[in-house]
Amino acid sequence: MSDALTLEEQEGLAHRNATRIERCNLRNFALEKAAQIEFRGVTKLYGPIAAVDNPSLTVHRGEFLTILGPSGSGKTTTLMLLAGFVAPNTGDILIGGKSVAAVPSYRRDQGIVFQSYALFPHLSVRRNLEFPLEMRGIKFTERAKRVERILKRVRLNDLGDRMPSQLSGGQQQRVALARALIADPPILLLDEPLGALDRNLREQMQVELKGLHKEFGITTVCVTHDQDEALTLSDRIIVMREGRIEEADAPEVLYDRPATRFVAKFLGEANIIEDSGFKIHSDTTQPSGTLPMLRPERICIAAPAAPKRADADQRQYVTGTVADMIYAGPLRKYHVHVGSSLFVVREHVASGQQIFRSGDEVRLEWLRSDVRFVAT
Amino acid sequence: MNTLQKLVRMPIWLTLPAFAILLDVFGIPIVLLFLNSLNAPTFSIANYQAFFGQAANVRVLLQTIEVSVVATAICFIVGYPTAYLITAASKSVRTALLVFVAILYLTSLLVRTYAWIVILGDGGMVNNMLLEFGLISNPLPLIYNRLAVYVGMVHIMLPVMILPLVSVMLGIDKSLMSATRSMGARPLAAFWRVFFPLSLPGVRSGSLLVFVLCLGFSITPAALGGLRDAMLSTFIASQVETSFNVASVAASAFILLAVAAAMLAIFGLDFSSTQGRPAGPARAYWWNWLLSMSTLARYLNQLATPYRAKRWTAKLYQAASSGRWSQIIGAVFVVFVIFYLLFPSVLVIIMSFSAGPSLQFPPSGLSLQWYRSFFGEPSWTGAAWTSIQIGIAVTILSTIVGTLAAYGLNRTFPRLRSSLTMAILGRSPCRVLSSASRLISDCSSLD
Repeated sequence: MSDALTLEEQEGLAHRNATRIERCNLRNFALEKAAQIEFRGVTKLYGPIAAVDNPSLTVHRGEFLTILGPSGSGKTTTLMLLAGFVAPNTGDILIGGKSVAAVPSYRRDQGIVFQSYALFPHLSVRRNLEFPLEMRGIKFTERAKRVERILKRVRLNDLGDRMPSQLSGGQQQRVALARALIADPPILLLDEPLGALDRNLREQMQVELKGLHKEFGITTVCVTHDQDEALTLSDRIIVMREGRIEEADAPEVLYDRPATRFVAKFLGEANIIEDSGFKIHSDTTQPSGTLPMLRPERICIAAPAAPKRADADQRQYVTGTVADMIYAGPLRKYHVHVGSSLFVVREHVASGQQIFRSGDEVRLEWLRSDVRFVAT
Repeated sequence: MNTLQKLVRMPIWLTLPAFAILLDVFGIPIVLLFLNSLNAPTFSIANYQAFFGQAANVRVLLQTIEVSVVATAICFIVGYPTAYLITAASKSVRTALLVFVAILYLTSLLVRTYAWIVILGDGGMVNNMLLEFGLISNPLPLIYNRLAVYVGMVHIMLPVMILPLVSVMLGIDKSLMSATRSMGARPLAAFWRVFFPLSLPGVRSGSLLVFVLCLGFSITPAALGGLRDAMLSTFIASQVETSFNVASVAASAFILLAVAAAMLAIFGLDFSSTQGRPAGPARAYWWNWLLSMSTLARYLNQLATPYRAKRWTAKLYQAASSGRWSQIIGAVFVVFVIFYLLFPSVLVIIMSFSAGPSLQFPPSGLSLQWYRSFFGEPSWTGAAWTSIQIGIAVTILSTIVGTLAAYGLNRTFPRLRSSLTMAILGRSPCRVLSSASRLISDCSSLD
């Protein structure tokens, strides 16, 4: 990855990472409780298959880390290990410096939000929220105070006496979050937290979740297969593959400069140009064992005879034929045959745009500096 | 086509055949019997007065209720942990255990009762073995007492308790238990605070079914109990045989029915799982509300708070034992229960190969004589063939009528879905099986 970065960019990245950590540290008092999580040689076998195969994983204090991966990549097992529902076969997990490999879930100080929310259907919202406090032996008056405070925080003031089945999906989600946070635990674990919500609500909850994380400053590990969620929420994303960590970095870096083909394909769409019969020009030299990669939104589509832009010398132009066009609200997606490869091009819909149909001759263009190289 | 569409649109009509059969088989006779008990058309409650006028009758009634309550309680105490362990087992083990329980459910009640006579009788298996080893000099009085009645009744009723419990327990979302533990609840607290309250609908259904069925028991208490352990239905049966006063018999039958109806009305039957149903606030959970909100519970909870706080800080991030012992104890418990459930049936199968002329265990020798005599005797084979024919006919009829009714009711009252599915799936295929097995085992255990 560092091959593809200029010195300047590397500096900028280092600076950004530094400021992020600083920002984390300054968050607020709650951070004092936030714990660092560390995996040391952890493996978890299911039969002969290693679901988690010694990932080197450290979650910094107050960080929002998302584990992303296809099903079967070991991301859920990683979370189960963190939660204490399964014990590792080898290695140790440290939370706040304490070894927890043999510690059962109920002796850990943690908050978990489950995909199904797992609200107790036989208890009111208030009693649901009280539950973790009760288990920690917190007195009744203090419990009541804390419940009121958190209910207000998640804007459910009047719903304390409702049963969970009487709440909407979004409200249930907020109760689940509140219940995970109410005891002020040092770590928060989220298992596909927004998976059960519809699209609009999900975006709203992403904002809410981000706000809560900022406010509580709690070390958060989120498991998801939803890349939008991962990109929006995280300080850092880990992409897992077959029990190992394929790549870990800040969302912008991971999306913009993926190191491997797997990450490029998994996080968003990618044009990976294998053998197109033409050379892809780049500002940097292509390292061996890599392929050029272009994100669909970095490519512009135009009629073949359209005038070239002023920075034409920094661009590469190719011509091709439109295979099909998919209209998706604010976006228009083209599949274009160029030589023997198929390019995906994404264009924001704007007025005065020329729309191409399948069979049309088009010219594709991109900045040479937008070309990335990914390991195969 | 048109009428069919109409039928689909008005699905309640599909339940008509089922209700017609039920009415014909149960409804009309019951009404007639009820009128009879009231001495219709003069209408008097003389028969009921006569029933309660006799101290012996009242004693038998109270005894019936007492035996039923105790049997239900034992079924619950044995059945709940068994159901819990079956639910917690891995999928293949669970299926195997459920098949065991279901097989038992389908085996003839008569056979199982007689198996207990063979086991517990004065010349029975247990006494024989104890005498053999010289542990006792005279046979122990294991049979013809209240204990033997409970052993037999619990044995027969246990599947009725276990199956609804397992059905409700399997419906409890696993992530709820994970969530409970993740919030700091020890396994025992997690069980009492979350699992048990959520399994209460199963407890209610199972207990009600067992209790109501126990009320009507006659064969088992008569066969295993002493003279003082008569149940009301035994009483009714003997009255039918000895006297021709249908009205007074009808009165006692309706008193029994009233007890059962009262229990059903108070607690209500509910097979459907609590999960995913939009229950009204606290309506479906009123008993749980009583449990958790009662002042006593709250007081105890307050008392436990400082202790909890102390334990929380002391045990935080401490390793726990592997819990292997509890697993072993659980496995041993389930093995015992399954043994208790299956052994009498196995015994009957072994005895059917006996060379001896009477019910005896262990058999004095092995032979196929009973099977030879069964297949050699035209009256036996004829009866078996008739049973199978009737079984098939009833299976076909009940499947058609039952499916129509289930479809109709399901469309009309979606909440009834699970109970009806269970009833239809559970009952119709077992007809042939149970009648065939009953016939074979009845013949083989004949002396």
